[in-house]
Amino acid sequence: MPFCLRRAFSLLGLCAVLSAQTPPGTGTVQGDVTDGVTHKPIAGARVKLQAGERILFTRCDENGRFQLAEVAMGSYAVAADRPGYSPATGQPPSYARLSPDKTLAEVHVILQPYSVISGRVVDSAGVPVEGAFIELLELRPIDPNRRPDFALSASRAVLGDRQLVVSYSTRTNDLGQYRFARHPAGSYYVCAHPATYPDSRDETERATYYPRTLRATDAKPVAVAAGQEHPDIDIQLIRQAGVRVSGRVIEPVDSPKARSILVRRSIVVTPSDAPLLGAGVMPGFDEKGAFDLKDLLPGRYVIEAATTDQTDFGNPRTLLAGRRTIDVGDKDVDGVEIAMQPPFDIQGAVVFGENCPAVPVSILPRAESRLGNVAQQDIAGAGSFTLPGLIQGKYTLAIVPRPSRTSAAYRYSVASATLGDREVLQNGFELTGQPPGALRISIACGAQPAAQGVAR
Amino acid sequence: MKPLLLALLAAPLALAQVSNPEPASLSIEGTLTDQLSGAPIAGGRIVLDEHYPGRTLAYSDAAGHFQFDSLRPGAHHLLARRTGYLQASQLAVLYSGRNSPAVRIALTPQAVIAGTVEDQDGFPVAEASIIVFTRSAGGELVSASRGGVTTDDHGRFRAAGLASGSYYLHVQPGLAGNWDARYTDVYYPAALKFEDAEAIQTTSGQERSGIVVRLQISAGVRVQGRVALPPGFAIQHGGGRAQVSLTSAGIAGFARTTNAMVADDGSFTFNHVQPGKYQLVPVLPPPYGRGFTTGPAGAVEPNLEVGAADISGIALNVEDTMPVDLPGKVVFAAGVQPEPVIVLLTQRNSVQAQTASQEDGSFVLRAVPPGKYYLSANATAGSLRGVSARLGEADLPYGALELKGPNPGSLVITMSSAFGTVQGVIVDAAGQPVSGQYALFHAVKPGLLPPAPGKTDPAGHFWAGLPPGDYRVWPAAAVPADYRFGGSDAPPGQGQLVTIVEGPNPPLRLVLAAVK
Repeated sequence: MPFCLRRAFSLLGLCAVLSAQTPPGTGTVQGDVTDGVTHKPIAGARVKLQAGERILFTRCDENGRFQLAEVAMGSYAVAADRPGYSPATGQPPSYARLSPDKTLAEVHVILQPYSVISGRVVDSAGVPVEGAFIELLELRPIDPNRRPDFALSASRAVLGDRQLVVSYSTRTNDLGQYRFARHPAGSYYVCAHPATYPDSRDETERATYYPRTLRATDAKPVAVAAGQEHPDIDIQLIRQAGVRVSGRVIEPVDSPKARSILVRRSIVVTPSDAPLLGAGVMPGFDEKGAFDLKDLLPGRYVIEAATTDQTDFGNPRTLLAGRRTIDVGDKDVDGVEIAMQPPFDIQGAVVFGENCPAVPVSILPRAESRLGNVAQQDIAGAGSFTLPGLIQGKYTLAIVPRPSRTSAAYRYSVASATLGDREVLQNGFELTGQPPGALRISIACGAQPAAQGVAR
Repeated sequence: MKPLLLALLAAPLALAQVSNPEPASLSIEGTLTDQLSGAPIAGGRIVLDEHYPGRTLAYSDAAGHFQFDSLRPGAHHLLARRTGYLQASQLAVLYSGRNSPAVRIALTPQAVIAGTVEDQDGFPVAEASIIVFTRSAGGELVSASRGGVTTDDHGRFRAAGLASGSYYLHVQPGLAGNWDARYTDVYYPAALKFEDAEAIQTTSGQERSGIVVRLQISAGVRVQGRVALPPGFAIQHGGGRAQVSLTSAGIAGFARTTNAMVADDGSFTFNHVQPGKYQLVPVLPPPYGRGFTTGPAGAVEPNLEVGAADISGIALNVEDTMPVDLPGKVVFAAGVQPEPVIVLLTQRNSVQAQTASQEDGSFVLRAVPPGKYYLSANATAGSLRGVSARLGEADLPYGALELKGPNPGSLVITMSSAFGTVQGVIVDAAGQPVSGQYALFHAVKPGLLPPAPGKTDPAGHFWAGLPPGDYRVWPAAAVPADYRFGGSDAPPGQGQLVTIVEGPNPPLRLVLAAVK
């Protein structure tokens, strides 16, 4: 077998002899594969050389060394693989280059052992939960442009100035076991969601963070180093009955009339300091304005309401919107009133710096609220515009000058954006019950060719 | 169990306990046991009246005991599930002023197939996906695994929730394909073709562990061709680029699609294509995603047969076909409060056009390319359903319609809230209830809705919801592939004619023909 031959040569240290015997136009690639943590050779690792569609394979001997002879000239990406390691090409990727001047290439590939977090999920009766959805979460800086994901996800729990985002997810098997492997070392939170088989769903069973808490603030991160395994990150799902919060939205006397018969009356509940929402909270309010939110756990929530009409699919128009913050304890809450008001239309203007030819500008306000839908406005050049239908809440602003090829002699950037007398370019703005001022956008340009300026 | 069954069949009971005016003072108690050992099962979940507003969940205690209180007379459905067992359901009938005798639900322990997937180096293969399938009583290959089964980083897999039976494994290469793109799908133990697959036998409560699947390298062949676009179309448009998708017929409905980018000169290449039948379709970037065809519109037949040799010179000529606007009107059955209605045209299970009706019931489905479609209509809220439809003067049985030419005519869709429900039991020739069988319905006068088949639970019971009308109903071991589109009718001499009225209907008793 060629593999045995290569190994024998390598062991005997006959590389020099080999390269001397190499046929013209070919060379020898040799090297080793080592563990990125222990720096020890990895015996039995397999190695792949790839140049376009030309692929060669070999394996390391017990000293972690490999050698491939009679390899055609070229530049090869070298990858290695071995169970227990991320099959990366090493960091940075390794290359072997063979040329008539250099017929022997030596490559060192480093493989990082991956870490493992695994455990078992049981229900309140101690029975393994099959099909539980498990998320491995990491703390990341809050991204204002990232909207809340679907209600089941733990990805928006905020801890101080950071938020939990899902890095990996999986499901438990019939023994209740889950296993996250092949992910980098780090500090992770683990959240288990009840199994989603609808027929045996227990509505009082809650998404539970490791070690056993409903609130992200009480969750304990699991720190795992490369090559380390945490096999006992077990979670018992918590059962807790929720309470009911009911009330009504108060519409102004002179409410705008819907143009379409497809009117949607939506309520969105967002935990601001509360456990994750259960699957049961998908409410709206009725024609009389009454709403009934079932199954909330103690904590602080923001409740938002909106009436939209859909004259066209994908292009809803907000007629009325309102929001308020409520604190929920362990008893039902009744009579919550949410004052609705028409959304704001923000008037604005784009001005260009001196000697800057006007170019088209795209303006996109992004609402933090899932109920906020504002269409992108494309302005032909300098002049006024209207951002219609902004509801209360926080917004960030994306402003993109779009110079055409002919005016690309200038680099365009957004110099400032003010709403009323406040600068809103960096941090966005928050609309409260008061009408906002005008939005004034200044575009500057410099005289060097460049890509489009992008500002938030 | 038997007395309850007979009670159900003896008389048309009012099953809608929701509207029963009698006080809720009755209770059901019972025990959950292991079918094989007879031992009580603790921590089981028993769901009462799963599909009704009074849905309640109870857990079995250490003695396997469970109880539901404050119930009204009528038939109550019990569903029991516990990890490690197959689920079971049972009916309990409560008569006025009398609690039911203790219910005993026996759960059958699941069978498990567990093992590892290895590549040719003997390395474990992570993220290999495994489809467990079996032959249905009708002889078709059907999926048997609950959810997706995927190997972990050690190449290990567990396919749980299986009944006693005979199973095949179809394994996709997962990360082995990253190491060497020539790794291809295999059937257990290491077969490239289904004919060479080996079946794995399981019995209830058994764990077949140590099953090793060895992935195979098979270079396959290269498939090359060129896409020709009509004038004005671009390979690259916006952020998107034209692609060609290659979809294998696959087994048991598990089609597998790979995509190849189209180069600037229109050429495309697929490497490592295994022998078999494929469908080759160009996919254009928006806004060209619709309004074009290649050859016969809506063709779904495999159009490429791959053998042992490379294939080149395939020409995919994209034609720019003119989409049409399809106007229509929604009318409401007598006594029905009009509501906004969503009208959909689907093709190969994906929505091709949708719109909502206006206040006067009118709608227009815009820019629909020519082709064959299925029409459906549903109210945005409530229980209104489209029950019949016409295009021009032609009725559209099961919503099937074909659009060709510039003047397709106008749609009329009738909406109704009338809906009938029927329960029943399927028994064999000896009168024993049979589980896993289907009650199939064929509308004498087909409407828009295909009648959903009823499937029997372990007690042989089925439930079906249908628009009112006359049906032929018959029992069968499997649902024929063309059933959904009204293509199947009762075998000669087997259909039982029933008239379904709005609301609950008298229970049915269907007898399976004796196996010859």
